[in-house]
Amino acid sequence: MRRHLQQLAGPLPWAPGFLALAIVAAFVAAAGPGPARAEVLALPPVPHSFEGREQCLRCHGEKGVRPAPANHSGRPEPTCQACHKPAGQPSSGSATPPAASPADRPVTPSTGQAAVNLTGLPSSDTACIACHQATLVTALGSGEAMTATINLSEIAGSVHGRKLTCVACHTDKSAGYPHPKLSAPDRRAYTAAAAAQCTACHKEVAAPFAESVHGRALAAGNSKAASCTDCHGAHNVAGAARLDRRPELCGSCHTVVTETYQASVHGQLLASGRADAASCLACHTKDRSGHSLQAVNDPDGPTSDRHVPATCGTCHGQALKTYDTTFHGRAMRLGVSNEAPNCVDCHGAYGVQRVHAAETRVNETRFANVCAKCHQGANESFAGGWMGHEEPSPGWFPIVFFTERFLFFLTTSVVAFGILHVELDLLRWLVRRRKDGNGKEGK
Amino acid sequence: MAARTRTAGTDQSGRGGAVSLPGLVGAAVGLVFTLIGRLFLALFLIAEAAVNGVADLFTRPAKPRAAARAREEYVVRFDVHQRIQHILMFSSFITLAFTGLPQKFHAWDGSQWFIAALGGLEMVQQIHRVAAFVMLFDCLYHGVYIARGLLVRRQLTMLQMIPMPKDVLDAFQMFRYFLGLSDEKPRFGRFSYLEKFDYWAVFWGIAIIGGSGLILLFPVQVSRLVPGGIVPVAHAAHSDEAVLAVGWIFIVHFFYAHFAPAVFPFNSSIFTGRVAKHRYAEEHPLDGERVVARPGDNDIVVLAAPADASLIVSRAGSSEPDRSRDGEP
Repeated sequence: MRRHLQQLAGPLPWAPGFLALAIVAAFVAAAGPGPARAEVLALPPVPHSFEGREQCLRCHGEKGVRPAPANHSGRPEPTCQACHKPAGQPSSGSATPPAASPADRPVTPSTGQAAVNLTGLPSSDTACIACHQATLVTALGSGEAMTATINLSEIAGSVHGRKLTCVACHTDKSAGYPHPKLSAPDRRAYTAAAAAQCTACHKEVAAPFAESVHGRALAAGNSKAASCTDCHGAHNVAGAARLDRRPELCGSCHTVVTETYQASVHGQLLASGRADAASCLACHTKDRSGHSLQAVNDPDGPTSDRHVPATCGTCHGQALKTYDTTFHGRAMRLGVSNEAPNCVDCHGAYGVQRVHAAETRVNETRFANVCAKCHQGANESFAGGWMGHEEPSPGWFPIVFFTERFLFFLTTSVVAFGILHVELDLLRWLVRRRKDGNGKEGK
Repeated sequence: MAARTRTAGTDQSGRGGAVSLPGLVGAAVGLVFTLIGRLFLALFLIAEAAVNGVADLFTRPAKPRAAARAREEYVVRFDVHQRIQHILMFSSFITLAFTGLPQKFHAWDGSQWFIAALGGLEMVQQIHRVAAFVMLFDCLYHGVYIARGLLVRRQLTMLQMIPMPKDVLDAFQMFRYFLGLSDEKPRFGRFSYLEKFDYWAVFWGIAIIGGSGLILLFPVQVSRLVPGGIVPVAHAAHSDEAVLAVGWIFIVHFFYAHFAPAVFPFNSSIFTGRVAKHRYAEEHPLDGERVVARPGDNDIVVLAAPADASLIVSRAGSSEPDRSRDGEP
């Protein structure tokens, strides 16, 4: 399997390679705690010019004078020069027999690609990489172009990189070359169809995803809906845990709200690395799994009008508690209409800001405007009656605090007096009734 | 405006020494000197009284013949305006309580069920507002009635509703009697201290609850006139004062109007306006003596029920509970 791999062990004497070496070394160093020895794909340069020799397979075909290696079987003519350049030009791609000394080989990054540690790649993959490392573009039925180039660093960084062969996912290519023609009419259809390959292994998510808002939209024929690889990536498929805190993934489709979110206090805290900052999935799902995403206005979903308070309240418990005691909260709990105001009606949703921030929606100057959305004509005096999400105390709305205290004292003492009056009256009546023996109350 | 009579001496039939289990349990629980303990004691005692009252329904003498009733003299204690005012008051009060308390205790499942059963929060709030305006109208009605009575008709007996030092002394005397320190009940005038308390409690309650309710109904307009901080104050006052009103009415007023042994199950005088003269003289001896001495003075009218009046009385129900029932065994 190492036929395409060459050890990069020492300084290379070949002059044009110095620059390449520096680049490779830089990438290897940047790759972090990888192995000290990096293996890169290199390929033999063409020792002759192409002039008059445009048809490679005449010589290098299976029956030619210098046949290409066996694993090149089936590779069509036009792909040769994608990898093999004339001597003196930087070549792209790889293919070199292991027997060859590394010192003899030019090591260059492939076309625009960084050299990558591919140690342990399944053997079948090297055959794929041999061609697809080059810039390949194919056309789909709609005429839409689709690149078929493998980004090696993506593969190397993915959770599948060392575990799955190319054909494990690209099952239609398992018969080798030439590949069957792509049946998908366009890129989105191709992406949607690719999901079937994922659920072949990840069976447990197939059913929940099919019930999610994205899954149902896909099933309904909306190929713009997010499929597996839109969020998880394809060649760079990432672990699920890393997705929750990447709003830019959602933002690749939901552009505006994501930009608003990223400017919000939630988005800023998330970007600053706060572990408990609200991510997209924190509010939009109950279990932080994108597979259970439902429409924003889904009646049972966490962002429906009725469930917003509980959703915000999972983090903002004190606010939820006081909200429940306000007219707003009571209307929400008891009301039959969807007009009861919840958290986002005052604070905003995606763009929520700190309550006391200058640009916030709920601040002193714009406060009344928020109230006036429902309470027509509300002015700042009216807004000043909002106690916020604090219980009244001697220092906060003392007049409310002492009104409550006074009325509690009054109620308790007056009702206690009344009860005492009633029970003493009855006790006296019972005692007299018993003493008199005939129930007559003396007068 | 709400006045109700309370009787002490009536012909309770003999079931000597019958202190039932609820009464004993209630007395034991009441030893725990807490509000909850006191509430339990009161409820058990009320249950005790109700048990006795129901038993009395079947053991008391047959009602007097119509001819005997026709000869009885009645005191007209409440005129037709007062009776209408009371009907408006209690019907709106009960409606307000039943539509308001579930909103205050919104977290309770029963509240949510009740509100849903009535057709949702908006419906409950509409009912609440209609009842509130009935009550406010009733207050207006009463105010006009008082003004007319004092200024036009010179019914100075109305002034006897004003609390006097004697009421405090009466209350002390009543508790001395309750505790067995005295065998004499206080001698009331036209209105007892408890009746005055009922009346002025409604005055206070209407001012607080009605005023705060209007603030809550027009919060935007009110906060143009005064600082908006008045709104949460009104919110707190409205529901807390309502608990006081409901607590007093449902426990104390209901007891003396329904469950007290002398009136169980129902004191009808606020609806008929009539109280038997002998009973009135017992309950309000100071005024009763005036009635006897100067019949026809002001609005107290003594009727020797004529033959045709007895028809009316028997149809509307007599003010004399122990004679008005058809509770034959």
